Amino acid sequence: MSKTFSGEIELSFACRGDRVIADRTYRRGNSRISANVPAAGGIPCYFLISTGGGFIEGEHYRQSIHLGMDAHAIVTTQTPNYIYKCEHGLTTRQECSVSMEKGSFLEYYIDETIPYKDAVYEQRTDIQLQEDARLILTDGLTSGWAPDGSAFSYGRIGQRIRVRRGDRLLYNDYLLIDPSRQPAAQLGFFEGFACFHSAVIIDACLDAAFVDAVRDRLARLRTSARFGVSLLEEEGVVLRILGPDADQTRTVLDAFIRFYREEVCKLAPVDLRKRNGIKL
Amino acid sequence: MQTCRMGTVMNETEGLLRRLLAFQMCDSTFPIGTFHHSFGMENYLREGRIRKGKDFRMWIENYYRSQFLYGEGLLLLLVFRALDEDSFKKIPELDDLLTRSTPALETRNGTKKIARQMLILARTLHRDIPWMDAYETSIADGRAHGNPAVVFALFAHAQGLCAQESFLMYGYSVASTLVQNAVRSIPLGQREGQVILTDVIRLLGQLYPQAAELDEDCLGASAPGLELAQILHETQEGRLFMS
Repeated sequence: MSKTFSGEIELSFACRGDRVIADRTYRRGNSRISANVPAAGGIPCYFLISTGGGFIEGEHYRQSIHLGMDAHAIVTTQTPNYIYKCEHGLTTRQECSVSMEKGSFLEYYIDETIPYKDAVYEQRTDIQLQEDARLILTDGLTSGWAPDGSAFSYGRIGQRIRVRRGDRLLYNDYLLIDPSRQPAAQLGFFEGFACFHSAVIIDACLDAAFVDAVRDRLARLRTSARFGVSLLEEEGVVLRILGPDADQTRTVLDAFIRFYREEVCKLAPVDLRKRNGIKL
Repeated sequence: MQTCRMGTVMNETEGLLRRLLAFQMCDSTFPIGTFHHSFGMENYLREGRIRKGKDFRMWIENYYRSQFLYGEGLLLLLVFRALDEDSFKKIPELDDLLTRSTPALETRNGTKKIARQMLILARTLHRDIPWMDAYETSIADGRAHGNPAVVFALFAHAQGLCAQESFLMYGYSVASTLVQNAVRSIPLGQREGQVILTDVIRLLGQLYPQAAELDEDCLGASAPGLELAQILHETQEGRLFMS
């Protein structure tokens, strides 16, 4: 069945000699891709842009990202993802599939979702890794936006990430907040905080010693955010952060990613120069 | 309405006894180590965010509205569906999916330990529980990890209990242990604990119809605060519980 998407992106990266290039940058509808941003010391870096500044009720977006063997790329959203107000109860959707060949490395920084009043949103990110492929992935959700300033006036928001290596599931992360059935401001949910950020790093070399080291580093941060790091069942580490605002949570998020990039990957820091955005 | 699966050949007393045997497994004194685990509650306790009965009530109700509903509660129903469809091979996959959905190392390990002890005890008490051997094999060879909701579902299904009754019983079982843990650690009065447990029982009645409409797609969905507290428990000082 063919489907009409409100916006589509297809991005593919491949190694050419000792460089990595984007060998396919296809976009349609409301989705755009920036030019390569030369911020990352030779690593191709692209911003995904939504021309309307956000998604409108009932719209359906699709992204597909592919990394060829040994390719390393950075992909990031340009801004938080606004899910505009919902007047007819229609679900807004984004589906993203990522396939990564042997030895490739994707840094995919998805900014937080900001749902407006009554918005209903489902985001699905499915990532398929081949041997030795590594991944950094972020996402987040806030208490939303409403004309009267009230928090959690949105409808059901589901953001699911699944990461597989070959036919093995490595990680399933389904953030599901439904304020019509759950007291989202309370203990257990957002607990009085307005912003939640999460990061996962998939890399087979990460172990308990890395977790200890990154915890030590993060403990030095001055922030009012509440955060924690834990080891996945296999091949990875997660970070969860709740904070009063996105600046506070991003401070922790950035430090976590920077530590991995610098200490494990030996990469130079990157400034994505996003206003209020992730600085690595 | 779902009808219970009591076989027609089984007499009434046998049916009741079978139900009682399932209930035995739900007793908070059933020795499978559940009293060692607070599933993150103790972190709120240490941080002073749970101080009294009303705070604990909020935590446990929200735990049920999120992690229990989309976690072990849904897992139990999906295991029932798989057994009804004669599709055992689905069960290790469901166990794996929920385990990989749990970011906190301690919570995963606690769940595995409880399942392990429950399996051993169930096999000591009852011979030939259908699929229990196969489930144990799937844990031994790494396809599954061990989850008490699966062990209970396999046993309850074999005793002829229906999915709804099993969901409610298992939900009660987890809640009664968490309440006993709260009574010991917050501490709460025994009577106050029972008042909270009664409210969780009523909440289970509201959650069952929601859970019955869900499919595998939702398995493992969770909420930020619950998960973060479970993660933070790993590094907290002064611990009464293992998770």
